[in-house]
Amino acid sequence: MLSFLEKARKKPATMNRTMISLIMAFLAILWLVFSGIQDASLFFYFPTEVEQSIISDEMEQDARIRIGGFVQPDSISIEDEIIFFVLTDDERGVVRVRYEGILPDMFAEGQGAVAEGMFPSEVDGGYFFPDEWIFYADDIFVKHGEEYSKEHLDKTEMKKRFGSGIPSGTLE
Amino acid sequence: MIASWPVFLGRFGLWALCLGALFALVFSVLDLKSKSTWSSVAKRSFLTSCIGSLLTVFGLQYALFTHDFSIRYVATVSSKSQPTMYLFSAWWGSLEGGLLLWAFLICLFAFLAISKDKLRGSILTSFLLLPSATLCFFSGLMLKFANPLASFDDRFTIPLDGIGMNPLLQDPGMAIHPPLLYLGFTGITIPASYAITHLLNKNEEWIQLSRYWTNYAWFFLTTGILVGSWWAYHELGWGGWWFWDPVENASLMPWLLLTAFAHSALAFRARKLFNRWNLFLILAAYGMTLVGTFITRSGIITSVHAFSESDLGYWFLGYITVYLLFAFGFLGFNWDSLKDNSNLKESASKENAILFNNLLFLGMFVAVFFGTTWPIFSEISTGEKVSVGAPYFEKTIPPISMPALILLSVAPWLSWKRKIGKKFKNYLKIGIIGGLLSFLFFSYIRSSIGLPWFDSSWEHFLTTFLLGFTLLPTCKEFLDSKKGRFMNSYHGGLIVHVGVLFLAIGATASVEHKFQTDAILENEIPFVLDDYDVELIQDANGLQVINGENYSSFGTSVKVSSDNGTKILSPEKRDYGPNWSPTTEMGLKSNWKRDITLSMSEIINDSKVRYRVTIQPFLKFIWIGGVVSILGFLVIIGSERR
Repeated sequence: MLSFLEKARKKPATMNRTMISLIMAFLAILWLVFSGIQDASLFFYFPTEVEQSIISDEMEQDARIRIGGFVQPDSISIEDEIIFFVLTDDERGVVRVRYEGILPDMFAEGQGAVAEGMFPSEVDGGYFFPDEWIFYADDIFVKHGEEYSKEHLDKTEMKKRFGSGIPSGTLE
Repeated sequence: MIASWPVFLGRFGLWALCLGALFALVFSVLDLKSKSTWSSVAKRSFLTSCIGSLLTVFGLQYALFTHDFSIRYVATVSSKSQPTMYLFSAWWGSLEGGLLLWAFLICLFAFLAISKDKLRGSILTSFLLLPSATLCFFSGLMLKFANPLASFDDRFTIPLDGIGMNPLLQDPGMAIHPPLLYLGFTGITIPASYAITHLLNKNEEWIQLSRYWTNYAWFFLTTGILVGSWWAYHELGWGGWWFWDPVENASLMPWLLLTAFAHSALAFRARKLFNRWNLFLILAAYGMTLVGTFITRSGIITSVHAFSESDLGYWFLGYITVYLLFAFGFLGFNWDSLKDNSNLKESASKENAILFNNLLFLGMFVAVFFGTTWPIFSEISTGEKVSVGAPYFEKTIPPISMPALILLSVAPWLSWKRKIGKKFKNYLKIGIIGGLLSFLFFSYIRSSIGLPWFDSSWEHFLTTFLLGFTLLPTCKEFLDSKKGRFMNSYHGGLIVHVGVLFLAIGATASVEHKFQTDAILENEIPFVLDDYDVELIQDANGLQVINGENYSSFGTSVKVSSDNGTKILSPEKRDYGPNWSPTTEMGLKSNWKRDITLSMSEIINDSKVRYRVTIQPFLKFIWIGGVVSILGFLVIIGSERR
């Protein structure tokens, strides 16, 4: 592998200049990528992990994070155009989410969703009670993929759905 | 229940596909290792595999069209009320069928390449290695984990009707988008296989032979990405056209490498330059088609733990590792024996421009690759899950793509090997005039739609300058070219470049000047938004209920008027029955200057509805640019037909 370095030394001066500028430019791009990634990445939690870090007092307030899980059935409520719902996961951790705005089309109870926002320490002039630990989301995503089927159905789920021979449609 | 005969035939075909590919692989290796020739046996095994894939496809389509819900896959992706067209496209509706489509297209492309390029002997067997290994892998996956023709375990679970396809995806754009991407992905297999013939058999013609297939793969992949983005804009109703979603990035990564390869292959054809680099690029591009599929299908992006739940991810990872070891192992072992003319004497020559083009495309690839896979690396190394969103890409991509756009404008005027010529200087003069004209033109248009003409980002100023800077010399080139030499692949390339600049103007301006707000409209009370008048016009009956083929919907009528006319938009909220959440059909008023979209978000009462309104200038330039680029690709394909 080192042989190409020896060869490069014998190459004409233009070639070396080209190689050096290429390497410099590539290093600049790498710097751009890695500094950008450090700044732009957000911590991502599952509801269970949020619960655990709240209990162990490690959850930072006012830090932008993302929480991903699925929307607990019968948890969506709307009060004065503010949407409340609960995100949960397989280990039954729960996080209450408050969101003002338009929900994406595929947002529904039982569906996977990601909420971006923070646990604020203060809200609208008034003091926020951190015991409540409501997640203030300002962006909601749903999984957008090329799956034509609503979700990957495993065997048990399929049975639950089609057990009686009549598709019930909603997840029990 | 006994399966119907076409389904039975399909299951048989799947085994034929798998075993045929396995034998093709084994006999190809035997042929390359031993002195006796096994190439005709390998070829016949491969043909068996092709026939097997046809039979499987036939069996699946028969099951879909006859609503055979005893097949699990059919019950998942189709239903009785599904329109006929979407019964066909349910083929690639989920993982199982997607793998089958991929396998089928590899068979098709490889078969066409073998018969068109008349491959025989050891070239044929070294060519067959990659397609037959890939077919073995995919058909193995189908037989073990994801059989599209598997029936339910016991007959009591057979449903009376299927779940059906996600209504969001019941759209012509979305029906055609996945097969276009698959055509692009599988198309890459052919140049990658030719690269392997060069590594194993010193097939010096590999670039010439693969050029034709590279064009097709490039064309399909580009069109597929554009159609997907068009669909996202028109159907998702979020007012955006590119979301930097891992699924989108998975198609972008091979595209970036393929584009770099298509350019550096030009340098090889003209001057026998960058031979090793070309091999590296195309082998990496093929690897990225696998990595992209792995990322999107294994669930690893959400969490490393989600990945470990299914074995599919491990198999993919295993196959990718084996592929990388073999492909780059061959490349490494042959490194010193590969002929490579690396004589770059003149700095301002076309070959150097291509070298920098490759650097920038590789840079964009690195940026997208790390942005997409960072969550995986972070979780493995520190245990902390992170998420990388659009702001990262919007920050890192422009500094790399803008120099690429400058290069794209001037590089076609440079000549191989020589110094800057008269033509270049001439075009530069015309170009600067054209650039200034288009810059002033766009500044005027910006002020005419209420945006400050002097205040915009440097990206927007640069792209508006570059359009005229490229367009005027290109027009001169077309006028000057002699009859008969008109419309060769060089001209096709120029057209693609102009299309890319149109697209760049649309992309930068629509992101930068995007205006989005929520508006509550009351019946017959005009609402002023920017310089649009927006008014809800309902008749006395209140909301209209529309009944479609397999949905019912709430429709509203909104009158949108601006200085260039009035249009009645009808945003809808559709309900596709109990299995699906409602979908939004947006209302769009669009001209070449500006797009305004309205999506219904909430019905407050019969005469009061809430909408999300998005106004984006120059968005149409994205689609104009896309169409121009596709036309340019067609010119390239047409002029390089052998």
